[in-house]
Amino acid sequence: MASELTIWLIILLPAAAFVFNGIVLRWIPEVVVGPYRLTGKKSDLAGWLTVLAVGASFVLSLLALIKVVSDGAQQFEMHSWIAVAGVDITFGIMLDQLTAIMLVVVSGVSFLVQVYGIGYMHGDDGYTRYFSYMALFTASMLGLVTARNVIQLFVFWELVGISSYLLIGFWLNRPSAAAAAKKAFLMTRFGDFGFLLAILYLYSVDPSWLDIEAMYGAISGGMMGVSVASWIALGFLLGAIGKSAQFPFHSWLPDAMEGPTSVSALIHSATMVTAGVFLVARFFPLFEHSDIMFLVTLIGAITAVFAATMALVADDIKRVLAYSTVSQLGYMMFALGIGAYGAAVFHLFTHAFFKACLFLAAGSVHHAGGTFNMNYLGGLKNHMKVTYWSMVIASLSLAGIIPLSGFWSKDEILAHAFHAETSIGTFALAMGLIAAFMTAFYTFRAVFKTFHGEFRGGGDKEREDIEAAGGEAPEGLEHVHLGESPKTMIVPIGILAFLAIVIGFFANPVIDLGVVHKHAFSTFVVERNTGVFQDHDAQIKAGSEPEFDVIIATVSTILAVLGIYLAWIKRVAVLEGFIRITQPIRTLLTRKYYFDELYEDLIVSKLFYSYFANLVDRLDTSGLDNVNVQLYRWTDRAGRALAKVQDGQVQTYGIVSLVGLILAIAIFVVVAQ
Amino acid sequence: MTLEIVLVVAGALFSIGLFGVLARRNIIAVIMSLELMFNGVLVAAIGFSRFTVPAALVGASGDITESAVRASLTGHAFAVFVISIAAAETALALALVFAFYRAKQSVEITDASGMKN
Amino acid sequence: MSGAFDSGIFATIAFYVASALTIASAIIVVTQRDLVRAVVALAMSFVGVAAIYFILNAEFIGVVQVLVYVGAISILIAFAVMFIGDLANAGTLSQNRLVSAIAAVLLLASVIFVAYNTDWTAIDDVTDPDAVAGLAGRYEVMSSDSDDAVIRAVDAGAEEARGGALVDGSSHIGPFLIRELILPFETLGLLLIAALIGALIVIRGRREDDAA
Repeated sequence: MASELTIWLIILLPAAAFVFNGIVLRWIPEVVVGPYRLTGKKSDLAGWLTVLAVGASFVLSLLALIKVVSDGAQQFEMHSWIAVAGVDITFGIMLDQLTAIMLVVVSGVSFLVQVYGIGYMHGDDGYTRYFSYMALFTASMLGLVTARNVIQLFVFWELVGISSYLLIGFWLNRPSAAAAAKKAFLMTRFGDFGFLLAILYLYSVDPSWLDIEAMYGAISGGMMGVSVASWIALGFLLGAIGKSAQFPFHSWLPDAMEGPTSVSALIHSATMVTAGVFLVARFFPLFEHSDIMFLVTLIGAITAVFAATMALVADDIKRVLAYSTVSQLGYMMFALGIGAYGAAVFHLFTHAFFKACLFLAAGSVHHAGGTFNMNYLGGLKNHMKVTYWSMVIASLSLAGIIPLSGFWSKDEILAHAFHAETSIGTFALAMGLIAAFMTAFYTFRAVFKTFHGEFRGGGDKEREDIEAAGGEAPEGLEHVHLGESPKTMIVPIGILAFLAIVIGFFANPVIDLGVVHKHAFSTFVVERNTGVFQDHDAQIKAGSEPEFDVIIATVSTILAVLGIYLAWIKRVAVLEGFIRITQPIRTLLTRKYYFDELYEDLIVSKLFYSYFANLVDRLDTSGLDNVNVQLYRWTDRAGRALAKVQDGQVQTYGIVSLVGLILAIAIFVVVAQ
Repeated sequence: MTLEIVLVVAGALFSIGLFGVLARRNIIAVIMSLELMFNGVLVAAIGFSRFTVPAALVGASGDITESAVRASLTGHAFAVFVISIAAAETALALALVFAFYRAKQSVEITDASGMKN
Repeated sequence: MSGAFDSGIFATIAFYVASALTIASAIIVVTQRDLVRAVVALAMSFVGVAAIYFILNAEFIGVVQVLVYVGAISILIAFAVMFIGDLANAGTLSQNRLVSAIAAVLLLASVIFVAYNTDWTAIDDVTDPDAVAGLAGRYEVMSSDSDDAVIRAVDAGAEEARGGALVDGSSHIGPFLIRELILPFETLGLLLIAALIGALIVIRGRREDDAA
């Protein structure tokens, strides 16, 4: 059932959908059958194909998961890719426990998002293009998680980056979207540069280690030095930080909200941004062997709080969710950093579901209210019950309220941090708790502001206000039609909300549930992953026997409830004084700690363009170009000088001939001597 | 009196004439200098005729013929021809100078620049 | 040695005097601004060259030189000067003069160098008595046909050929031209006709009643 072909199909079916949609359907003139367009730029067929392809991938992924659950990690052959003159790069499929879980998460969430997209993107001019890019992305992500060779992984890594670029900048007529797409791509590119350097270094140390299984073997067999591992891990970490928008490469993610909401749901909550976390998890033995785990923890912990602070003051729902994603990724990072592999993967798993649910619900809100700006929303809970309750459920899960899924995964991470007994672990714990409090607060602030109180006008009012103030209304503002969204949108939201409730407890229960063993998920990911974890001590540290710590559970729950309560209060009674005092802090947060200014104005414009680029330009003009210019001048002068010989004067010609004759005589005489 | 000194005189005459050809601006002056060059050459020819023996007679054995003896007059014959041709050439050159003057109203050699590229 | 002009010291002095005259006149020709003076100097140099010819025992050539060069060519050039030589800038030296001077000097230097460093055919190598006698002019014709004649020395104790070359050039130049060089000789006549006609055509120029 889980033959190699099956796994390849998981990747290739969406890829085929991409090719077909993007190349065939998009460019064929329109063929309309009944109410459905079959071809052209708004082809309904494209949507169905993508849904079908991703759905098939999901089914196959489930089958693969079942196989891995029952039989353990699967080994497949490597195929030769490039084999020339001493360079031998192979590629193949890796199907271990981590991969199996990721396959299910990616294809599952993607499937729901595609279904949602059919309703959400209905009528858009780029409908076919949307579904072709979505298929491309899904295929790339699936390829990434199954990659067996580091270079193969990098190829899919880049493909994911490209898909993200294409999807963020999806609406071609919005310059802000284009700028955001460029920013995302360039920033992640920067991280990718580190990644690539690490790959090259790895290749130079031992080319056979490009095969990940071989690398595991080398590490456990003690053949890789600690400093080698550290440098490679550092490069990989750079790539991970870029893709997962960790501090300091975080500023692209809020801007990436320019893309369609379903794109944000898929890419910027559940899948692409988790690629960074996945990378660290995939190379966990390498990171453990190196010296830089503390760095991973540090970055993750800082990011968790840092992003949460900025979410506190955001007015745009999607921004709140974007910062929230960054913050939660920070949790996953620092979990990996302290060695809690199982906890991190579990949190990745649960987060995918409730975050995707939140984003899709936000899209639904926009559908009704015409805007994402919470200042113009409110009172929607009476108009869209399903959306409302789904959002509440998912928010509770995000905040970590028992017994929802988010609680179990977040709690496990905090418990590990508590028991880590290192200073960095304690630091991480503190950060985690602070972030938990903030998370609860800002999430429910968003919920209350959007759904409670009076409706403040929505997109129409916002447009009015902007135009009255003399500005131009941004493209994303739509008209208000208060009411629930169509079924294709509601159903996925509901499904995800349901999963947000149950998946946590039922995948990783704290007690034996008969069908599902105690801590099934953790044991599956850690203990049975003998490729990654080869000794028992490492397994325990990684979370194979997670403790349910009552202290931590209580503390985090109290913090979460406190946060929700504060959000409720703020809604009801505005605390004037508090707001006035914190105004400077507010500004700092609203301006995102001035990071954008730092990056764009200072570093890029001043440092790079003015100084460095100018320098290079001057070197080029005066140095390299100058060679050309001088050469030209020289030849010109030489030519002119020579032309003087041809002045039409007989005597000149006579002199020239005479000089030649004398030279000939001289040579003759000298030779004859 | 040796061949070398005759050649020096001939060479001097030739060089002076050469200088005149290359440096004078009047066409007629150039023609005059040209004549000097001719003379230089002829002096050298006569000198060779005077001081050298035909190759056929050097280390000769067997019959000596008059023609072999007369071959030592090669320089003289050369002079006869050159003088004749020089005369004809001078006449023609001066005719050309007249035509040139008719066309360009000038006798400067710098005005004869038809071969300028 | 035979011939009064052939006595060593006298000939040498005469040669130097004649050379000095010739070269001085030549320098005047190339540097004089006034063309009339230049023409006269030209004639003087021709005379000097004729003198040199006489000293070198080329009497016939010397006479031809006087007749043709001094008597015809100099006059021709004088006529030309009289017609159109008197214009402004007639005699100045062009801007090439430095380069030309240097080149001329260099050429002279190379000629002198070559002259003194070359081993000219040794005149003492003529050993055959018939050859010596033939060059000295003291021979008799043994047998002759239409082309050529074989000679024998008249008396064995004949004086050495003067310097190596034929003694009496003047009487032998005629047969030389008519026998060995008959073809160039006749062609020369043809060339003179051509030059004559050519000069007339060039002078005539284009006339209205000419066909195109």
